[in-house]
Amino acid sequence: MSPVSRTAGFRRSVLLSWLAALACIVVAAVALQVSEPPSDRTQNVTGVRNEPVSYGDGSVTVGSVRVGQGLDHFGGVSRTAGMFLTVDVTLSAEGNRVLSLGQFQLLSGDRVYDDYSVAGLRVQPGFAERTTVAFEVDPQRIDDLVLQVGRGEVVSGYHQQLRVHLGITPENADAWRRASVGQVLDDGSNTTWALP
Amino acid sequence: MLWTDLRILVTDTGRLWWRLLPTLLAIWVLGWLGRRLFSTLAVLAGDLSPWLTMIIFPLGILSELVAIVLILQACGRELGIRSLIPSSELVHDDRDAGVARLLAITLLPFIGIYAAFGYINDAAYSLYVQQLTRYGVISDAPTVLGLLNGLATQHTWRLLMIVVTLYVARRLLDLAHEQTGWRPLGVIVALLETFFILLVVMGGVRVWQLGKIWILDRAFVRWIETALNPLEQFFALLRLNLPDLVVRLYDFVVDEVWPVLADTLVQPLAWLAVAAIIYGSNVMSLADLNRTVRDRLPGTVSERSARRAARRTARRAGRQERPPGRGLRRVGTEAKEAFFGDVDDKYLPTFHALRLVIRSGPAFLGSFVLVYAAVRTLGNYLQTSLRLVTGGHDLDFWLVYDPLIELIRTLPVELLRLCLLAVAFRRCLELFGQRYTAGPVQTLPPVSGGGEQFARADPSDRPTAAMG
Repeated sequence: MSPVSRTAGFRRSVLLSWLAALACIVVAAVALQVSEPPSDRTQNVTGVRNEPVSYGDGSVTVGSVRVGQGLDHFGGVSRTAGMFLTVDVTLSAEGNRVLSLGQFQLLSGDRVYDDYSVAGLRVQPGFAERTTVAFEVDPQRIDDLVLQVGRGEVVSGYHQQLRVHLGITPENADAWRRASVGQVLDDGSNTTWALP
Repeated sequence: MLWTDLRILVTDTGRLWWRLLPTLLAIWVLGWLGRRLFSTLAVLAGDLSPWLTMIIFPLGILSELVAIVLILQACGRELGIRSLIPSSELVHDDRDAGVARLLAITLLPFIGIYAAFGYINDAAYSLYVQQLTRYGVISDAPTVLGLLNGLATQHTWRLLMIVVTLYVARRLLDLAHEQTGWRPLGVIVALLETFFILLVVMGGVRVWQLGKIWILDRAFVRWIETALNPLEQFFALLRLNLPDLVVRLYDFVVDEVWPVLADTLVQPLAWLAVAAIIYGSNVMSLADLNRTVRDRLPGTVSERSARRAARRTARRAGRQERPPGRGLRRVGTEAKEAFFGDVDDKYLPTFHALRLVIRSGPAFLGSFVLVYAAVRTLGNYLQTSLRLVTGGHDLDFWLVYDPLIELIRTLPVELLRLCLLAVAFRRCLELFGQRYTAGPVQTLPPVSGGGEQFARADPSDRPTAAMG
């Protein structure tokens, strides 16, 4: 073999080595990205409306959904150019520890609505408490609204977050929009009772 | 060649892990216990003074680092890594004299890498969470973050003085350690460095932010903006929004490219540099290793290398015998020496170790990065599985059980990762040795020490010299 062809062969092998190394690095990057645990530190538990969903030592029940264009709260009526939507949420502390819910959000695809009235629940063991959470939403974007509730203190650890579909679908969205016209909703106050 | 490296890294790592498992488990658990103990004590001490918390907390971080150093040392001993390093390079290095000496030598550069990858930031965050939970969000109790935030915003110069004093004190202690060789000083230096980094991480960041705001508020920033206006107008003519382009490019590199690159490539190499630091700073310099390996070969001691050695010795002697300067000049020289000496101690070993790894060839680099990623992928899936098993809970649960779950998560994977680093470093030395000693008359020696089980005569390997 001539020195020229030997040099060419050497160069080819070096190039192949670098290509192989690059392939390894790409595979490694993909593997790490794919296997990376989600960074949101939340366990999303899906539930159904009007049925209790296990939450910590107790349970959460998402109840009635109402829509309107006004909201009666803090002694006055607020009006919106969009739509108000209220949801009843009940937290039951069936175990031996205090339970609390501090974060309520409404998801519409990538859009996230925060609660209009700052809501919160804190229940002593053996008790249940119900609150009405209000949201101001875009009437054109109410298909497949999902209520997301959690304790809202993700500073460390891995936390439970519940997601419940409110039952508004593309098929019945128009009916919900029509139902909201002229309605004034009651923000309501929290109600507490002892568990049997 | 790639396949050979992959096979060696996977099989030898597995064997090493299995053989040393009881020892490694014991060391890791002890390190974990130390971390938990000092972390808890630090939080409790916060009731007395946040400064006390800051003094005790670094002990927990050091416990973990000490465990890593000892595990890497145990793996290195098992593989006979030190025997691969030419004995002439071991003359001035007494790290084999005992654990305290090893720690004194290795902890300082190790902390540099450890901090660079945000591990001390994570520790600082865990301290913040623990204090937040203990005292509540609205509390008069002074926390570490509250104390440093107050110092940074109301007594900035005082905080800067503390940082500078700590740096100078650490540097002086380091010099005293070099002069006296008294081992506890080395560990105290490492402790001071951890304290220093913690202070910078938790308090210095605020000063940095304040500094940035102050600079942006100065008149000269407006002057620069005015001076750049014609440029902006020029690019407007070209219909090219250069500032936007630069910002987008910067965001893309910083947010997309760098995290992936750092995670995939830089992190494994930096950890291999940690292994290199622990196995001996004498192999840090590529040129040194090359020279020493060649010097060890019969008939290869060249006049050139002898001349180079003589020049080196003369340089060192010259530095030591140089008469001291006067006044400011001397202070300047000493300050320069102190600063660059610090860079030498902390970052130069890492830099040289990286050069050593990269010069081992692309096949080794690729296979090491791939196996390292495989181990981390295993860890990621273990973490996901543990999340599925434990489920979501509130903060009270995690404050109690998180350390235990963390132990379960890290125990198998971290040990495997550290074993891989030892195996990879040995392979690195072998490849490097082969590269510079290739010749028809040398023979491949078995790996000495406890590493006979790992010795091999790979047909694809080029022959190498008998070393050590």
